[in-house]
Amino acid sequence: MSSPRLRLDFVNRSDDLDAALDRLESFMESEHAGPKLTHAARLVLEELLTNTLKYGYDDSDAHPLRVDFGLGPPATLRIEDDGHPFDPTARAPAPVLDAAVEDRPIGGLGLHLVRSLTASLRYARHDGLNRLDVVFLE
Amino acid sequence: MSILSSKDSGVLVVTPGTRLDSQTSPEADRMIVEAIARGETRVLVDFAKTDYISSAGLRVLLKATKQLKQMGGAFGLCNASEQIREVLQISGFATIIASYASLDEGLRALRA
Repeated sequence: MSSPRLRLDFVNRSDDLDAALDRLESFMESEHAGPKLTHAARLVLEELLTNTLKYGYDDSDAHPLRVDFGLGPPATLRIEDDGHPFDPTARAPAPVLDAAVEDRPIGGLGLHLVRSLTASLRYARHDGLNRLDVVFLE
Repeated sequence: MSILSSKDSGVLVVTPGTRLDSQTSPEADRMIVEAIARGETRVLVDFAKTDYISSAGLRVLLKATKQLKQMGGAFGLCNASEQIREVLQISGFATIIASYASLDEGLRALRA
């Protein structure tokens, strides 16, 4: 039997993103997923899509976002969007976590959290879409 | 919105709702910025009702820490759940921001 899946189709509006995050959490609860995975799944989706909403588009049109979550194990997440090409696996050295408080930049932590809470991230760009495949830690 | 603030023995206690995320962080930030602007120097964030924090929430905590440190004040948090503690740990905030097990402990530490 295949693992329970949740598919969400919505657009790049923060209200829609919030609704999608709530639906993911309800799904996790109805499937009796543990609090750790429930937290990680919501956090990873929030961090990745908040970035997409902020930096992914030049216009103010509605753009489709598609999320496909599989409970696994291991739990998996696929996100597809038609925003600017962005490879979250390629960028950004890890922030300096032991810097003094005055030296810590405000921000830049989202992707670090995503990397820390996942086992793998795989990025592909085709047909004008960013596709990110995430595998969560078991 | 469900973020509360109250004053207890000279310490401003800010109590976010279920989540401190990209949706709720702007209000928490505004609340703390305004409090500092009107002269508060000791701020404690109480996570008693909160079980989720994202980088948007971390930004609010870091900003408050920096501001209050600069002006000789004090900032801390208390009642962090296991999930929140994990995020603080991963982000390196656990060593930057004082974290107390309970509201009482936080108040005792931050009191003038």
